Amino acid sequence: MDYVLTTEGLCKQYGKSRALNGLSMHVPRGAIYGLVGKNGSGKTTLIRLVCGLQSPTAGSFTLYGVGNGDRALTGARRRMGAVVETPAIYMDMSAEDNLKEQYRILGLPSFDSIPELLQLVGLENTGKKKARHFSLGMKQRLGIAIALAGDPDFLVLDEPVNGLDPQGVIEIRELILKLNREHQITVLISSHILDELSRLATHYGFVDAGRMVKELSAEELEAACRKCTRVEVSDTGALSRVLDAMGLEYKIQGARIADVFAKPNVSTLVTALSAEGCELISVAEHNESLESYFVGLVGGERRA
Amino acid sequence: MRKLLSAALFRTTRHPVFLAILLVLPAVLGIATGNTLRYGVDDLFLLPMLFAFGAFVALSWGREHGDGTLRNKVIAGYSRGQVFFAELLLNTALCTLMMLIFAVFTTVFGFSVLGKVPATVLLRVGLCLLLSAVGMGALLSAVCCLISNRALSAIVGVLLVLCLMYGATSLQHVLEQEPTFTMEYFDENGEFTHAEELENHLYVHEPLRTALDVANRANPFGQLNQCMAALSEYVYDWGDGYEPHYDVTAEKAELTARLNTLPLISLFSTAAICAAGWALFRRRNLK
Repeated sequence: MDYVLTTEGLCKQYGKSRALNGLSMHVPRGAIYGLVGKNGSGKTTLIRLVCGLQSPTAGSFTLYGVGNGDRALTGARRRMGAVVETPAIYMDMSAEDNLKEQYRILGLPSFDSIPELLQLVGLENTGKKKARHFSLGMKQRLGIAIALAGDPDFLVLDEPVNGLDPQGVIEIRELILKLNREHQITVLISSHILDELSRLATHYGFVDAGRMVKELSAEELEAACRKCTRVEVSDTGALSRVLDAMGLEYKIQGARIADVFAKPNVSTLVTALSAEGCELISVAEHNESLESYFVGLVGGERRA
Repeated sequence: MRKLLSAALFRTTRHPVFLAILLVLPAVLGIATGNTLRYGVDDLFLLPMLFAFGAFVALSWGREHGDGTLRNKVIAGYSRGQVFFAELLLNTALCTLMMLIFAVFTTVFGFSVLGKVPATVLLRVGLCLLLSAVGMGALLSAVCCLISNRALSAIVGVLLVLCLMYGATSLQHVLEQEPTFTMEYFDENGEFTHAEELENHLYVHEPLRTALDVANRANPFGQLNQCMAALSEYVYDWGDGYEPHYDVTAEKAELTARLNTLPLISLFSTAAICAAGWALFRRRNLK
């Protein structure tokens, strides 16, 4: 497989604290690679190392096959764009001027493609409005537009939907999908909002305590996610007693819903529930969510 | 790096009012200095300009760190060295331009006095002034590039100027001490009886003296002081009936001679500051 980015045993230490602890990852060309991890698991540190903002304490990485010790790496970085944590924009400039500034930095000969880029990120009507007056979503989109200046084929986005309202989240998601599908841009996206990531990613890397716990494709993840039977009943207390008596593994998901990690005999279940005075409302096959899979891998809270 | 400089220049010119203040200020200070030259040269006129240096450099780096726009340059494939030196060049160029404006206005408005100063001395003073501005810009840039907080950067920039000023003034004071001083004794009627030459405990002996002298001359504010001191000897008007208590000719010769080595020391210290700043900046973790 052709990889845009690979890391091998990457370590980063700040004083006594180790942010990355031998992390290895592989980002295939053309993928939307979702980097999943709790807060403080090392996602942003990894992105900073790849972007050249910090140097690794140990280990190595390659970007388009160019190693981190190679002088050609700065050239390879010209093929990537990134938004790390907050969008890097001049707050006292308009969207257009920010892009002009980035074009100058990149040495692009003409500003002709700026209107097209602004249209791509939905900022074509911002006129002379300064970036400091933009909403968070607009700033994020301007950050992405700046990252896209120079026509990169690898985009790194660190928590791009953090703090956005639902409309903003949808806009960013659609933009990322558009860039990947229509412009063939490989995207590395870090997030701890798993539901959002599951709508985008073609590949996943699960990070915990500075290590890569698991890397897999969306198909592999789908296969790996545990299948269960989602049961809706009038009384989950009664359901618990019945399932315990049947010796089945289950998880109560709400006042009326439970996931049973087996295929129970529905007739037996209905009979047993009736005996407890409980009504069976519905039974459906259900796949374990990315969230449950992640929690199963590394443990933790609802939001990774 | 040319592209980085072009972009930086574009950013700077986007604030015409701020830029105008930076360029009008040295002109006003130059006019004030030119008009008061006949009473000597007071380096206090330079202080507001040096604060402006500090504010400009600190805000320039502070904005790059604060808005996170340094990241765009590194990710765009520029080395840390290119990013550092592009910003440093812009900062030192602006500081030098301000000093040049100050020097031109001082010369024009103080021409009646400065016209009496030998051209070679004037040129040497001018060169040293410009080099001290380069050194000041480089030092401020090398320090402020390490501070990621905009407000802290501005505070440090101004404090650094103050420290340089107090450092230079203190060193100057120490170095001006004579090895001995004369104690005069008088009798009960107030009649002079005798005089005694006593050792001055404030006098600094070698090799510390040379070290302090080099430190003073490496300090951009110390360089300004020496330029001003040399110029003062030529332009100060003692007035009728007054005679200086020292040999003016010898003092002029000594101070002018010091201007010969000052550019070299200035260049060397600026190079050392740039190298140190670059070495620290390239190791710095950027957010």
